[in-house]
Amino acid sequence: MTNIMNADIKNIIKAIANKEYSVEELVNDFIKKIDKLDKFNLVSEKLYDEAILQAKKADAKKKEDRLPLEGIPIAVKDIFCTEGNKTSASSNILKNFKAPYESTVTQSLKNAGAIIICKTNMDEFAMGSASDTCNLGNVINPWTKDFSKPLTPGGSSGGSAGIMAASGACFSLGTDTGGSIRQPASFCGVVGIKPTYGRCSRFGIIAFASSLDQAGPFTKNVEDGALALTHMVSYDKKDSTTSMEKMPDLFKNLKNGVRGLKIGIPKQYDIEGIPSEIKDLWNKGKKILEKLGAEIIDISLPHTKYALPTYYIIAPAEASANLARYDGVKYGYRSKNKFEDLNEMYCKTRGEGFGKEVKRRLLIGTYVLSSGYYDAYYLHAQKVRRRIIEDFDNAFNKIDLILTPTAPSDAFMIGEKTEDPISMYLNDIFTVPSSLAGLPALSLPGAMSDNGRPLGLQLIGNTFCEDLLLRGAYAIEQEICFKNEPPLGNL
Amino acid sequence: MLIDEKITRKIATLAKIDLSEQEIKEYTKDLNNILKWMEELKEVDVSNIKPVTSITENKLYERDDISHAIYVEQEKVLLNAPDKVGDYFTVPKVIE
Repeated sequence: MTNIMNADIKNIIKAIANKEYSVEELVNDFIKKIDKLDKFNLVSEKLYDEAILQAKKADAKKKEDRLPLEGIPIAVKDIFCTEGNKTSASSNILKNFKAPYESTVTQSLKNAGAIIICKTNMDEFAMGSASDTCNLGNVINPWTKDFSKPLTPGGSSGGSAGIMAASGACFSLGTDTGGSIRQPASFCGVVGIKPTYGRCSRFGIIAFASSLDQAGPFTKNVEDGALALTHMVSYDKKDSTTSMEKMPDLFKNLKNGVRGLKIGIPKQYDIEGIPSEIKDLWNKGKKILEKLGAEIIDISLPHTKYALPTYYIIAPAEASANLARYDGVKYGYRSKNKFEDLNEMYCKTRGEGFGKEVKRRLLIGTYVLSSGYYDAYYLHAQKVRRRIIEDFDNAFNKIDLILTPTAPSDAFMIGEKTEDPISMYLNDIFTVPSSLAGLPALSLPGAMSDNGRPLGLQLIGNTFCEDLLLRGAYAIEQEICFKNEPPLGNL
Repeated sequence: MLIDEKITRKIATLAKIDLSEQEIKEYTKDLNNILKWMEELKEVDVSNIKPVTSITENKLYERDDISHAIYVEQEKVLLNAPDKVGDYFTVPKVIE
């Protein structure tokens, strides 16, 4: 195999099983690759020693003892606790935190034989859409052509999306609260899947907004995504919001096509000001599905335009509660400045330890939950959220999947939207509504923009219908044949 | 103006975040813009609508009343302490 790092995961597994390649060779190839990507600042910590150790163990195993993902190197967003490793969610307040335990999702993947090769940079506490709030500096999209004008990989899972674009791992892990897997997948030209809320355990994932956070994989293609996701989901006694609903076999009908499926096109997603190249891509998606025998149905999701402001009440409110734990007592940063008493220690620690966007969201969250404003903002938003969920429920009575663009633009330049929080928040306009409803959704690469940057298509499925979601995506993927790669030169 | 600097200061106190004068100014402006943007939610008729409490509200299971907490050794936990004495976390004096 000439370039094993670009192969499908199932072919890599086959190559290892047939001893065409050892796991150690594979891991070393990825290490060399990742080292060449340093200038993109995708990685928060390299875990090479441990990875090589695991690779040697895998190579020493008898054939019958091999696990389903034996020796597959993966990159993990730095929001997943991995025991013994630095886990900082790209925040200075957790800068030197070493996780004393393992997240359920990474444990499941380790149990399946996967090897964690590095942790990846992200927006601080997953709050952002450009990976420009990371404590280790801006993350840069490998599609950047001119380094004097670096492009954002999107966010918050920018490092994990970027490393897949540059083939630096077999797959990578992200988390999606309002679009943090799908939007960076769109910007980086890879597949990104957010499963139904409750599919993946949140145990050991640093919490941002607990009613929205979900883990998911980034992969080169849909079939790899099905494989990665299969080994990530589980009912977990340590997370009471995980589901006992059995995950359908994602491979059984994956290649059965879309003939007879009903695809909804929500008119509210056709918003003013979206570039024509994105509308063109959306039309291309519709035409492909129609050609393959699916029925295209116009649908209405009337409360779509309220999803973003609803999200920016609920997510910061939950964050303000979740991030109350960072107080400088038990772990993480403590202010080095002089403080008179405990309260001052808390305030200084948090004032110095949190970055600008995190503080902004904690202030919003605290305000909407504060006495006198709770009913007007938080409670009202949770009612509007039900309206949004009802919209989807009504739609899914008539259709199987929803097709939309993933993001309202291609990858923009770092710094372009940093000064105006609302323009940054608008990045999530197409991804937030399904997040609020807990629905499974994914982004797959659909076309190149006029600027030569990837654009993604989003499919949204009904609750627990990941099988149908991936089946639809696979059918589109085969027609689109997205073969573009970032301009990495000889890397 | 939905909020002024006085309110921003109060929220920061509630959130236990020390802010500089410059930050107070900036966040007051940001918060005003964001809250103004949220005003459009008032258009939505939510009479007789129950607020969402959990996305999995219809799918909660009964379970045995036992803890599934994981055991982490005390030493490992204390390794992350920013300040400690022996087996104790230390904080500034709270009782006179």
